[in-house]
Amino acid sequence: MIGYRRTEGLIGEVRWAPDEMGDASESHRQTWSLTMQGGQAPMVRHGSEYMRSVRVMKNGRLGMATSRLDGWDDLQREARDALRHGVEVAMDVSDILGGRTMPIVSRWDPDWLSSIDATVRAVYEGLKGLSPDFRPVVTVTYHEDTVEMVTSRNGRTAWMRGYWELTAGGRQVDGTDFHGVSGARLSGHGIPDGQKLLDELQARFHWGRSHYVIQSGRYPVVFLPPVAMGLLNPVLARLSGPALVAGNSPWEDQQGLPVLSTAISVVSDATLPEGPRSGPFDDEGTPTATHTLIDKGVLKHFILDRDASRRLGHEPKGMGYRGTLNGPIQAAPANVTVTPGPSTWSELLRRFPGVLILNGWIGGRPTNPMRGDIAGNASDLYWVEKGEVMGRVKNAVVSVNAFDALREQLIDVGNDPQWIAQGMMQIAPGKVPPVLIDQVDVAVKQ
Amino acid sequence: MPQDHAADDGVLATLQTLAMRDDVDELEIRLEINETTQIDTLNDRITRQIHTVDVGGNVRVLLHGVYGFVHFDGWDNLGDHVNEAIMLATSGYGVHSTGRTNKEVSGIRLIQRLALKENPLAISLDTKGAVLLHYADVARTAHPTIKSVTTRYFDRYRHLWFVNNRGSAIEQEKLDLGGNIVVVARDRQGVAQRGVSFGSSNDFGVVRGLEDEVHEAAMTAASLLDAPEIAGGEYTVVVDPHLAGVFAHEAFGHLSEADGQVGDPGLLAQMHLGRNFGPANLHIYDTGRDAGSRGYLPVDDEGVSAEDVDLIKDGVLVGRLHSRETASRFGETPTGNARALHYRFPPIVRMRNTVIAPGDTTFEDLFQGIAKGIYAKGSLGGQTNGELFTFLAAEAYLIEDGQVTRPLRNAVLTGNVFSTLANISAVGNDFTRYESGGGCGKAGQMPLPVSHHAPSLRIERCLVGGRGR
Repeated sequence: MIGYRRTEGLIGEVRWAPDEMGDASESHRQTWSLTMQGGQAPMVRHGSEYMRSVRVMKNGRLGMATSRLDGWDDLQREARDALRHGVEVAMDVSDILGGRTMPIVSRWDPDWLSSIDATVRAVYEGLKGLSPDFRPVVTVTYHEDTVEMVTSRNGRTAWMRGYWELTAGGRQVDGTDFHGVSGARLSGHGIPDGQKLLDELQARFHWGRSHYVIQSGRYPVVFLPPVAMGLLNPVLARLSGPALVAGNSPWEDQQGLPVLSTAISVVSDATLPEGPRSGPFDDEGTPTATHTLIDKGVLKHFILDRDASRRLGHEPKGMGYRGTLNGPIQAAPANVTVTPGPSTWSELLRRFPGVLILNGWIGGRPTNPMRGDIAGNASDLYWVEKGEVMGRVKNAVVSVNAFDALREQLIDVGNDPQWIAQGMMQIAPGKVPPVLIDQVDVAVKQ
Repeated sequence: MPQDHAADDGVLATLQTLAMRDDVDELEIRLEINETTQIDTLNDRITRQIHTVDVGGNVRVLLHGVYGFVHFDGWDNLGDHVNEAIMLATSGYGVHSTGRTNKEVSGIRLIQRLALKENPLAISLDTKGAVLLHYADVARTAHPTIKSVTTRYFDRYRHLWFVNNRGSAIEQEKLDLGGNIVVVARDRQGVAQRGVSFGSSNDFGVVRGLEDEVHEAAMTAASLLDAPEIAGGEYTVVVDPHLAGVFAHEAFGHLSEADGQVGDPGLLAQMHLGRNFGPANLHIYDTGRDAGSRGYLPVDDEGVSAEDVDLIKDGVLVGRLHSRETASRFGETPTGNARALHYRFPPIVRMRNTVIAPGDTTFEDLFQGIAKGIYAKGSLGGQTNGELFTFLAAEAYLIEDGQVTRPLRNAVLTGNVFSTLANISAVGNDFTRYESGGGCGKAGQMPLPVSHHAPSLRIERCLVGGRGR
């Protein structure tokens, strides 16, 4: 009666017809986490998901089937059925030369629960100490994906991606003033250092204890990594395969030409140990590597999955990833990194007699990614004079064009990048340093 | 639509047996079958056509004030999953143990079937794709600057079985469908886009007959190409019903979610019931009982029946949105707002259909006396942190001496929630039931189907971002 269970079957037994290409993959995603939030019951979670996927290509069409439970024969039949009305593609399958095969054993150790517990509790108590009214929220999560893949070219491999994530923050509400701080750290080898994140959050909370009033105008602004990533999103959009195939990207004919400041280099890097997407293959089984997308401002490579690569006459570079476990593969970088610049935090703050620091940008995403205009309410904005933080600025809207900001207005790039997890509005995780942008429009409601 | 379990109350009976544990304070088991279809097109071709079926469930246990939550694919080994959830809750014991339990609600025994107008699951993939490609053709031939048209359609059928150890046993069917047609115009001046969106919980018919809207979207995108950027500053703003609905959702609805208030004495000092929050004719409420809207939710994901919740009535704060846990902590009544996007997530407090009731000002009178202002239409989304909100208008026009004069681009409306509500100076009588194909995001659960129905609003001293001069 209650009979839905995964059909047994070995991926290695998938067989292909001579006139078709295809690949099959089996993914197992697990997460363990503990969340403590002021006023609510703590929650300890474990999730486990399986996904099988088959893609069949024949006569320039793609048939695809995914399922959490179906056996390989059923999936392959469904994918072949889907060929009848399948989308037109130019893709082929990866020529996997070798690698590990299953079983890859999960790294999860049940004893880690007590370590997670200790870290969450320590950071939570540290944040609670900021103020009697401070409402903290702290989560530690361990994410782990194992994937096994075969192709119609007799390729077969398997890989694992696993990383830790610590997120922490909270707020104090005083009247109608919400004074919030938040931050995150990722790690490939164990729980990130909670004390370091706590120190940073405590410092930022103290910066914001006093208010500072500025006038509307144009200011130099240090965009801290979470909002610097927001500036990068329109850049990634212009580089991405779907925009190029659709003819929407103004950069479609700019390869080899300068598009951003010479201080900006953007890389898709699948080799970073702590990177959520680090691994030997992307989700299409294409071998990954480090690919420079923009080198000192010059456009070098686009972000292409196998289909977009073939359509546009490029070699696949291993930039096809699923946004969700059961989602379709789309063109996306592995881990996005912006090469750090030369300047320390202190030097960034002293480049101008007065400078703003922006760390929270409500709605800070473009109305039109191809155009790059971004305007949002500054929820975490500080005024700095001669390197000293003077206080928190309220009721300000920060407006930029991301391309102008990273081309003409960029002054400096910091030397201390920080990981930003993939989010609801962000196609890839990133490791991004702070950037100093001059002449940023700031409208203030007095 | 899977039919083999549609009338199988043996599922509920089995789950009830598993839920009858006396070694926990609370225990819920949820099983689901989700069947999803998605079609994407670009110009004259289908780029993606996906049909997936997810089968799985979750177990949530509350023990000594700590939740253990397990989600899984498939329906086997349910007893093991129950034991694991208890183990996880036990592992957290001592972290923050309060012994607190959630608000008691009467057990519900319910079988809820779909009541459809036009069933999307009976429409072939070919027909759905053809409808989208037809709209793409309408847009592409509307103006020479139209360079691309992308469309997206999805429908999602959910069949859920829910039991808890308080006697509830619920079998529910749900449907959600939506999508959009996005038109991109491009010339040497730059790029501009405009879209048409649709959504429903019971009728594929909303996908039909959109030709005029699509054509208008294409013409609007073309007209926005050479529009100057808005100059940032304070303006009197008139927002259309779509954007007003997003405002109600982003600016006030999220603030009314009790899981954002609990444990926050500073916020509770502001959100005390009885506080004056807006003009005397401002009435905002949240309902799960509006059949056909994407926010329709007769029973929530904790087995609580939907209540209409007045949030602001006659300009006064009168209510908030609850799960069983938050209701318990406030000593109030659960409102049926605990929702989970998928069996991979626990239920949290979410909106359903958030509504601003109509006022008595005509559309024309909303513009009276505005020397220089902004008329903002449609929405490309919004965001809030409780105190501050930002929403991106799809279109904006300059108002000069009470007249709409010319288009502007990059209209981003922002503000402080509390002061902006107080600055609503007129509520229109043009109430509109707008349903979009987007969704709400919170705590990683996105896109959750929600609706917002509203009239136009006039807001004084609204802060608008922009780099124009």
